[in-house]
Amino acid sequence: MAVATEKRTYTVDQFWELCHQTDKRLELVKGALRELAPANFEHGLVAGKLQVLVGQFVMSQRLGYVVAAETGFVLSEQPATVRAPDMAYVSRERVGESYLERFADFAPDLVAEVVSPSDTFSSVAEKVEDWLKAGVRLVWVIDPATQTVRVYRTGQPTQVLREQDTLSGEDVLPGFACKVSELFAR
Amino acid sequence: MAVATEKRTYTVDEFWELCHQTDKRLELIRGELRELTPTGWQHGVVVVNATRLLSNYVLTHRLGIVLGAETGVVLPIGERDEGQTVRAADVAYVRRERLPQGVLPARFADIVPDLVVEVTSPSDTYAMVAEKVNDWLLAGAQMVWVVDPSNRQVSVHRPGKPVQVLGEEDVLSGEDVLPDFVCRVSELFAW
Repeated sequence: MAVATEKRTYTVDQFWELCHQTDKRLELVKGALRELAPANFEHGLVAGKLQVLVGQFVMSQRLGYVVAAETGFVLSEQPATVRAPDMAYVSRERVGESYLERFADFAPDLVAEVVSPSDTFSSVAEKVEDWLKAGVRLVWVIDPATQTVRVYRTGQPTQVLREQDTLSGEDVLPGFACKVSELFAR
Repeated sequence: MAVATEKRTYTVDEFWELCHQTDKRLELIRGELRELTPTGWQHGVVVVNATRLLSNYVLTHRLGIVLGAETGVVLPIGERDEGQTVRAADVAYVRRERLPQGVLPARFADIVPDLVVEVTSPSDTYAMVAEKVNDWLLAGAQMVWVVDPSNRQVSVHRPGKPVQVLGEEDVLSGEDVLPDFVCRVSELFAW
């Protein structure tokens, strides 16, 4: 979950500096800081499982990279937005020869966000909007409370997947599939 | 906000009868009852502001009607094995051409609004609101505005289009659903 912090606005460069002077976990949304609170255990479990499932697939197929939560992606310079997804897959092509020792200046191909009980609808909607606008091809919003996954793609209606459904990598991660229930199994 | 109640399922007709034997405010979601609790004041003020702004515009231009909170709409959604759904939007606009001639329905109607406004409460979970938005769009609504008083944002949902999130200083537009309707997002929260 994100908590609003102080009022001044930051550029991406100022935010990068700030992130090295604080031990807080932060995101930058339209120039404003958002502090990320540590997630609850269930959230961590689901995000962890997803990283393993997608990570194994991506590595075995040599498709690209799966990055862990807290990795910063610059989604927009003006207004400055740097977000950190719970899980992201980036294809080799997108990473290319980019300099990796800063926030990524390319968008992931696939992003998963796990919902916390304290997340409001509009804060999640805003994340999805930001990712899709930045060029993410597939966004999974995973809600442990209802054991559902919502699949967002630009220009397509939202799909709701329940326990018995299969989560597919579609054309973004061809051949990847897992049961939704597997994400929530303890 | 909505609270789950008992488990049996209802048809729309049974639900209509039930609504007249109880003083609870209820919705029917896929055959199951959801109880609506009284809302907080932030919610109440936004509903009236949205109703007033839309209503003034719609009446002046004689475009159709604006329905107040609690008006029941039967949604043509759900798979064969699922029950029926009657939802009540916080504010809804229906174009004149989609209204019946003569009298308005005395009961719930299966006329899906063109524009739906839902105002969130602090206790609303992400999934509850996402389900509402999804249901309205599936049923045929052209546009849904989700207004969040806690962070003074409005998200705009349209079938097949990316969601748009607006802040207080942004302008909310009726787009092609309510052409030339505009207001500042901040007007929704004014008091």
